Amino acid sequence: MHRFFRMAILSFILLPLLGFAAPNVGQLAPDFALADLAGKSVKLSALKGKHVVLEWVNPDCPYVRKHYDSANMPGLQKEYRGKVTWLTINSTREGHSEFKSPQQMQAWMKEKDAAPAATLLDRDSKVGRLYGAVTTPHMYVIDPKGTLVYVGAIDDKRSTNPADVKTAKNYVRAALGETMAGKPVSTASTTPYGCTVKY
Amino acid sequence: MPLRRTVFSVLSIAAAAVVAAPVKTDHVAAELVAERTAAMPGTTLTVGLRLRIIPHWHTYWRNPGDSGEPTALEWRLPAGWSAGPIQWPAPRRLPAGPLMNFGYEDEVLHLVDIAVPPNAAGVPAVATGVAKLEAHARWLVCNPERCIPEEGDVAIELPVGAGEPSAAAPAIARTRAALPVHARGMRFAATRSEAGVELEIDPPPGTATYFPFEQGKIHNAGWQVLDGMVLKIPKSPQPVGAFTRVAGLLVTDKQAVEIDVPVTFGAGKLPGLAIAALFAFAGGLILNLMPCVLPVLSIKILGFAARAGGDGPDKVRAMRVHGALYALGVVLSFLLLAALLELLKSLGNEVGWGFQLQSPVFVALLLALFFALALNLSGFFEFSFVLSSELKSKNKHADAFLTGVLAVAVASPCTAPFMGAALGYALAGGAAEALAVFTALGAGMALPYLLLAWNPGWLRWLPKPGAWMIRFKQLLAVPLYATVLWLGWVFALQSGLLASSSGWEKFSVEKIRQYEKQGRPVFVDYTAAWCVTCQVNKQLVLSRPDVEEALRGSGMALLRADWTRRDEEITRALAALGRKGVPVYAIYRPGRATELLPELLTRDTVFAALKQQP
Repeated sequence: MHRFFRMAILSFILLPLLGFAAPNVGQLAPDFALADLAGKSVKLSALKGKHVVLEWVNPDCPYVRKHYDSANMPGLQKEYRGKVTWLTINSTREGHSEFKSPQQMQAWMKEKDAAPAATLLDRDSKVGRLYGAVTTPHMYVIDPKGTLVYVGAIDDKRSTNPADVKTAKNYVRAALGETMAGKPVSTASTTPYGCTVKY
Repeated sequence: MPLRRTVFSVLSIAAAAVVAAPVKTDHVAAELVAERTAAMPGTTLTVGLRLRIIPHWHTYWRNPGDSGEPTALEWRLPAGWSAGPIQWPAPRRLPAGPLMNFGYEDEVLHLVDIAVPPNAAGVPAVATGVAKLEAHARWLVCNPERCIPEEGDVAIELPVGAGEPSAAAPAIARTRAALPVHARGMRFAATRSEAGVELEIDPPPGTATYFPFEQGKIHNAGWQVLDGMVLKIPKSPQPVGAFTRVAGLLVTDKQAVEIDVPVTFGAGKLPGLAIAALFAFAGGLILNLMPCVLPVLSIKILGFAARAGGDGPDKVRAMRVHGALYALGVVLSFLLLAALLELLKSLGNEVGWGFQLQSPVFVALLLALFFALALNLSGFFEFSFVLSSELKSKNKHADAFLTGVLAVAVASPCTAPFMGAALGYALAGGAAEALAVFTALGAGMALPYLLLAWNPGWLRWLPKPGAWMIRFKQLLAVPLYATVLWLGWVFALQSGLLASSSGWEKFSVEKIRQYEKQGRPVFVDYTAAWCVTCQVNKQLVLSRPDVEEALRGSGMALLRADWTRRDEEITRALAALGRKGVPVYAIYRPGRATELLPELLTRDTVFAALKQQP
């Protein structure tokens, strides 16, 4: 038993150092706090009891543009407004050429008519790494107990063509539909597609 | 769409020369090249999409890794001409921060085989004697900072005729020589570990990197450590589906090979062997309680005890010798079974496991054997008369030994339901493992007899033979009857007594080619009546009304390749897919890589595959 505890403690110390111990479906979503575009802090653990969607975004990514130019992502955000807390996170590292200031991010979200509950800047990419976010977009759905119930792609058409949105199966809508009806999510993990998160 | 660049090509035509029109974008110069200066009717002409990429940018392999998209080609060819899939060169690992992509830098040549029909010049499009091969190429080009989707129309004009090697021929030959090949002269074994999968490579290479065909299985950016002959492949931190096969490219310091190795749970390793032997030993012990064996044990031992009479030291010694010889008979019989199994296995390795069931004669013999065993268990007749009549051998020692052999023979109908695990283990492992497991099984079975021969007094602890034995035997007959029915069905299909199911066309390579020419994708179900997985997939997935409807509505041609009987054409088609057995579910799409569905089908995977159409 002692050895087991030693191992457990050791892994708790070592895992964050490895940097990419991504949480999985069925596990608790790790807590974080990030500033929104107005500078107000949003803390995940304060949202317990609600369904939460985490969406990784980067306005300069052609795959993200596909879903914003086609109004797919803003439409989804509006569809679940008031029922789900939708957090759009930009983990582009400050200093990267595609980094966006809060003002730039605000302007872009407005132009695209986006409607998340909050847009969060993850300037040092810490939360992106914490969640193992790989691409933009990369989607996470969290149930009211704080458990991850979906991790993966936005839909099944892995392309930059906005026309594909119409015929694609939207995994996030399917997951939200099932989890909000109290059912288990049938497609709980998929391979995300898009641009690499700019760590 | 400011980032989307559509670039149009300008074509210049010069007779009797390979004319390519390069497409230039901000990051890539793309052109189509051909190996020869003309297209010879009735032959295969290799062409290549050459991408010259500006420094520090890259395009992607068929599995792009953590992000990205593979380069794609949509062909527009003269009627009757058809293009094969892109032949992907081995990619490189391209790190992007903590993430990893698989792709190409600087320059890459994507080879495609074009089938030139025998009447190549006869189609209207080639009326002038010059054929135009066109493709719409789409690629995603990225550097660690950003990604740009680009596309363009590439084309090449070729006269129909003999021609000669073109200026691009050496580059195409070099690329072809470096393409991944099927692994020959190498052995692989993959076992699951805490961190992922350990791939054993024999002979061990100097360096090795694994590139999976499928996404969501490995941790793309994770370090793959080569430790002697074992390559440690870390699993994905957010896996999609189970990591059950190491299927992809293995790039070593010597070559790039294509592999497909099933992942096992540590079978074949020494601790695994010890445990398997222990279980086999316990299984052997339990065999003695089986209704087939128990009477032998009781009757024989009681017989010895009676004949031995008193407790004279000679009598005791005689009984012990008798017991030891019986034990020897049992163990040797099991070793014989193990050797037989190894023989079957070595044949199976050559032809693909399950091959024996392709022969109607073999199926008929098996059918008769199982039927006899089932009847025996149901009590229609008994083998045991051989034993009860006693082997009146002059030689008492030979008598004891043969009794041991016969006990194994008589026990075999009972062992069938219990030997599954041992058989499976022996099949998965090597010859040494099989021998060890079967020896343990024999030792377990012989031990109680040996003990009783030493201490006949212990006999009273055994359960009394009685009516329960008969009922138990009858129960064991049920799975055997089921097997008999299944074999009967296989036999009926093989001998043409039953027609195979409808809605599907009979498979032929020619048909695939014809449909591909029509631009129609083809779904091929490689199956066999004796393949249980195939039947499960058929019953639970392919024959479902909604799946059947979706398949029919998909516009795909549906072909069924029935391998129930030996069929050279199917064997070759399977080999072309890198497979030796069934089930295999393949979707052939014109101008695209053949897609293989997983062996265990689900409704969702079929639907997902259908959705990917054109």
